[in-house]
Amino acid sequence: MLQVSAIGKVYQNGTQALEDVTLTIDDGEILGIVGGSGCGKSTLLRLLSGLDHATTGAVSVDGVTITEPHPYIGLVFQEPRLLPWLSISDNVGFGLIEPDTVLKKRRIGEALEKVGLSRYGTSSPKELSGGQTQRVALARALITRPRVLLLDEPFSALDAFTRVELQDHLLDLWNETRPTLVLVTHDIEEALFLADRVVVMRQHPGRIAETFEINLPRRRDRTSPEFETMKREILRSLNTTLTLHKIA
Amino acid sequence: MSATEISLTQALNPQRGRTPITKPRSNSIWLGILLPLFAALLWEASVQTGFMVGRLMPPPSHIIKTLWNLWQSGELTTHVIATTLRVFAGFALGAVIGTLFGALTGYSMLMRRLLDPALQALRAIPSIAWVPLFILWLGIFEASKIALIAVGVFFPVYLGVSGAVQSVDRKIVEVGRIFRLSGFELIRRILLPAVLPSYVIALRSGLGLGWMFVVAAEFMGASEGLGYLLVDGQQLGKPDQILAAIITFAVIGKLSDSLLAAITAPYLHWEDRFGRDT
Repeated sequence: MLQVSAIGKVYQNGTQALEDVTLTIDDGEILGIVGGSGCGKSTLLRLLSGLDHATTGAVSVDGVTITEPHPYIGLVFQEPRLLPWLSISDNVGFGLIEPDTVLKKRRIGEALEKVGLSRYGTSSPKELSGGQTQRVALARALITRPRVLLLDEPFSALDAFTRVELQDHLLDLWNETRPTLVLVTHDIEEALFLADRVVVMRQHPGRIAETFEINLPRRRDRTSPEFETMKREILRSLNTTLTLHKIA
Repeated sequence: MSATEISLTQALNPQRGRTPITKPRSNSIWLGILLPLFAALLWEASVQTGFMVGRLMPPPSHIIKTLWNLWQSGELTTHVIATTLRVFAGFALGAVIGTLFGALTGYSMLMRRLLDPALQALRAIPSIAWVPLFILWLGIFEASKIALIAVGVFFPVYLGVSGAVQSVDRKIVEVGRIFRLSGFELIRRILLPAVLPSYVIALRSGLGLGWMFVVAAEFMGASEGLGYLLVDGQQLGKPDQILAAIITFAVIGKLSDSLLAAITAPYLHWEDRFGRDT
């Protein structure tokens, strides 16, 4: 269980990025976080990953307080952030601590197969497309079998077709080991397609505005009326946070 | 061949599409030689026809003859070896210390604040100004020469390494952090490979300065070395010998730079940037 208890974050320049955010995320749950730019959703993810420290409050996984990056927690960035001097295989195996080289090779092979890039093991990152490199980033994060995978707008730089394809793909990967997923996105449809629960955040300072339980059966049909209804509701909530900000 | 034909042959035979990348390179070598060759021929012709007097600026044939004589007598080899050894020793010393200080100040903010102002102040001193002091401290033989060359090599390497480490993309450093790499592992697996391209450039400019400073060092008084040939040529009024030494400098300077570039090239094959053909 991922527990976020009343965390706040004030940056050194005095900007209050987050205020009093409390969340409980169950094992295997997919949580979507949406919000306008500057609502602190990426800050929240960085606190969950242990890359940054909360000013107040605490984050814990199964009772262990997170103060620095933890093996339980994986992170996929907005950009693939592959290391250009390593082959695709070496990028995937970058964070895998496995002294047995044969076993390591096998796990890298499996991870590449899962993201459908077996043929590209010896390629270098510059030879792959944007969608492919982001798949490599997914494989790199999942190979260590984290219990919690954080995703920071992972598909936002991709075109619409590739994005939908990778959303499906992410769901397949999740289905295998059912890690907890926390997905930050500005794409309501993406959050709605993937998440069990969607948290809408508002800005200045960043905090939770509203939470939606999504009780639609999975593989959700993006064109179904129920999907559309939920989408409108979340959009309305999001618009309220934006207008509230304008009035304030 | 029209554009469509080219794309057609490339489509039919993808390997063919790669050959033009190497072809212009071999052409460009000849293109680069064209201008100096033309100038040399013009000068040769002007002197041969009596249009110009070649006493202070001897024609190419004369310089080649001098070079040949120096080579025949074994003098050239002695001088080239002496100079190269000095550059090599000074370069090794300056590069090692420069790398060390550069890495230290690039990696640690504290070290940067502590060391960088002092080093920058030292850098502002024209390196030749150290010569009298080095001679007093280290004598007029090899030690003072190598020290001067090392000072010349140190600064470009130090600046290059320090700057390169500081400008490593925070984003890929975070990849290391998320996988909990220790300080040493972070340096070995992320920082080192990331700074390598800039490091090679820093080393190459360091080596270039090494060749520059060896002349100053040998002007300090040497009984052998290309710098000695220069001084000797001036004192005895032998411009052909001066030019022979200058040409030798150009050749071995370029050779050593190409060697350094060639040794490091295999480690930089991953670079994805504009204009990679050096």
